[in-house]
Amino acid sequence: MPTARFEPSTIKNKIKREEIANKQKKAKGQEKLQRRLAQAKAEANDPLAKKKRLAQNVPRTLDNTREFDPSILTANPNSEAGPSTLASQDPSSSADAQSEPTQQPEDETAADIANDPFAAYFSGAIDPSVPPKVLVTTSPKATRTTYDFCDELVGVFPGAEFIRRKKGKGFEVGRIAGWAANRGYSHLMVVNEDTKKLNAITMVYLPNGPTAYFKLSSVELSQKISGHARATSHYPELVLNGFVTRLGHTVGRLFQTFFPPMPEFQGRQVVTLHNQRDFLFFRRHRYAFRSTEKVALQEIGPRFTLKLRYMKKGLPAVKNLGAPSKHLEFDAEEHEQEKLALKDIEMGESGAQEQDEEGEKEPESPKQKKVVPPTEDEYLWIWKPELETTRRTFFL
Amino acid sequence: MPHFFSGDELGAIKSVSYAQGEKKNEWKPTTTILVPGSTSGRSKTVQKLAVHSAGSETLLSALRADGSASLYEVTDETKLSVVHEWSEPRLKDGQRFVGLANTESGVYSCTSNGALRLTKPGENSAEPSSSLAVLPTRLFEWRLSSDNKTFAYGGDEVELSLWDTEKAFSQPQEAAPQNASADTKKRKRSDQLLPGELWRAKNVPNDHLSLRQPVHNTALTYLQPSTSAVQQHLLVGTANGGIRRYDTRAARRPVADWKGIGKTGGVSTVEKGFNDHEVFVADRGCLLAALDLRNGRTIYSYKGLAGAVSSIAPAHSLLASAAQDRFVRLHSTFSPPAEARAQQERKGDVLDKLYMKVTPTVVVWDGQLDVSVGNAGEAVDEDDVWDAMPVVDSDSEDEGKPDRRKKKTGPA
Repeated sequence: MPTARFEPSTIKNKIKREEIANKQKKAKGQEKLQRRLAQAKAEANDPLAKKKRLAQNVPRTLDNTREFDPSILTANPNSEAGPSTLASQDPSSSADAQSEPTQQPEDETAADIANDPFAAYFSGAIDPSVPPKVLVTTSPKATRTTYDFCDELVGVFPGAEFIRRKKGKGFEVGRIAGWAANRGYSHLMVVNEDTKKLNAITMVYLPNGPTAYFKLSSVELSQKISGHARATSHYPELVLNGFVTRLGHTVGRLFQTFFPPMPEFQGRQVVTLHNQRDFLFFRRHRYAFRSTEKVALQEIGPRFTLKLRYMKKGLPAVKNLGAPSKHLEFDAEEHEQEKLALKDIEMGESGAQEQDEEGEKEPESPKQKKVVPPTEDEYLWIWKPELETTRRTFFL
Repeated sequence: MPHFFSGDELGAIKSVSYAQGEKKNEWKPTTTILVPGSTSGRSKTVQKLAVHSAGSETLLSALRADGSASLYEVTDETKLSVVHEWSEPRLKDGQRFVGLANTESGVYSCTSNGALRLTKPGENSAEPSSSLAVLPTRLFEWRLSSDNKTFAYGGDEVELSLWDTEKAFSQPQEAAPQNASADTKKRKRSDQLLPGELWRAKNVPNDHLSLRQPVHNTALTYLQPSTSAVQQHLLVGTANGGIRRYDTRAARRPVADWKGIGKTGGVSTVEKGFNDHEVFVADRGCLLAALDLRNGRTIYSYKGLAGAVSSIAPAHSLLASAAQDRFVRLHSTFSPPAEARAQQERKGDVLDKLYMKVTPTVVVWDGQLDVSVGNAGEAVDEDDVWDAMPVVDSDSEDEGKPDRRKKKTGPA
């Protein structure tokens, strides 16, 4: 069957077939090279053409064709009637007196972010020069690989401290988190290994959660990176890249709280957490100004990749199934409270104000209160295969 | 056009109403913010919402994390006017509201440390009044029966218990704490009923290692309206993911105990559906499933949920759920098969997911059945179901139970 294109695969002699195929391949490569050289030459004279080509010729990737998710905090690029824009728009046209109750949707998200568990870090309530205390530990029965990796982690986070996981019963992650919170730690990090290979990191924000569990892969310690730089103890700068959804912001903010708010710029160290297709790539570099225009980067290490598997609302739960049965209890201060209650009702609104004042006084006591891990986990988000309806669905 | 109210973590109350699109299974939400949320802290988190419609007016009550409570009148579906506001000073730090019921006689609220309150908003120039009652602490859920005559609660090491509403409020307030102290001193029989208590469940027998099974009721619901106060069917979810069905007339132990329904973290909510034998169960992982009450099997579960469902609101052939992943979802529901073990032919699906920006904590249905829902094609299915259903007496729900119980109650 004669075709327009001659296929060398139709030749039965192997030597001949290879010869022809190689010849064709070489010719094709040459043609491509010539084409590109011609293009380069043409564009050298006309930089506008190059700019135009680059602007037009954007490859379609999974990442830039991702499916729109209403929890993406930027606007929906290709739809005017996304659920986020629909909310609270309709009634304002019908009811003109609604101006006060209907808020801008952006305000709501901003208020939500401003009141999330990490708000204390971002509102400047903590001392910006003091690094957050991070407790790094391992899964039970850890091996050399985990300890080496933990050493690297302690080098990355300025306030980190490694403590070996204790052997025996009663050292559940939730309980450790409770102890750590009572000792003033702000984070707990548990490095998990399976069959002597690192496989997961659990990050717990203390004292009240959330807890994030990441799959850990592609770990490369500093030593393995050729031409790596030496780390210094300066507080690094932080680059969080590509977190767009509300969940992504939660992860990004969690990561940010691991570092002191004010970096020490003289160290010229940058920690990067780059999100691409829900994989979080961790890198650490040192930059150097070669000239006024050029900056050089040198990797310090370690490298690793994280992928969020679940996020829990509080600390990891600790179940105590063997606890003895408790009798029915009644609240002890019932009587005084009731009298107060009756007064409240008589006084009406003023009582409510009193209540508010009490609420303001109270926050001093919870600080002294012991942090007890919950008995039930509550999941904010769990990854499961069915959530990924297409390959272009991403969550962070 | 089903209409729901949702409360969120920052204290905003929103109304979510759905309109049907061109296609049958296409629903479009319209959201209105009725009460704006606070911008400082989570002290105003809406913990419970309840709707009561009497005649033309619809009342919505809300309980917040700082102990404040409000009763609103819903005017025009998109506006709320405050009828009465009060606070629950007995709500301590670390405690939360576990129950709210909105009735003609007033608003019942209950906290996890057992502070039960009936608030009567003063209507027609009457003074607002409230009466108090004391229940045990460590409660997880408190529910009022549909006829308001009884209520039930359960909790951590608190067995499911059925109370007479009137007696609970009329008992002398001092009685309860004394009883508690007596309990510890004299080691009285712990299963003695408290004044006002009608019935209390008994723990399930020890397991095969003869170890005591912990009591941890996390969710409960009434299954069917009952004419007699002491004769109730209750469904309870436990912290280890089990669902237990109690018949107060039959036994103190559950008449059915289905294990492993909740997969991760125990059952968070159980809610009776509008179809026969249908109940919805949510766990603290990301499970939301419909259960067949006759044999306790999951007839279908909904796909695509990423966070724990915190509240569900059945509305006839639809179901709304609020989840920790910040979505309010609208689901379709289908009745269980006519025969208990038959194949479930049509399975429920997520019809619409609405991103709420702030984590929704509660969702309630406004209880108004709209004709347009029926017209949309669901009514035909529903009629078929009713037609196909055999006429049975009140014992029809007993199919899932052991036979010996029937024998016992037969002569009576």
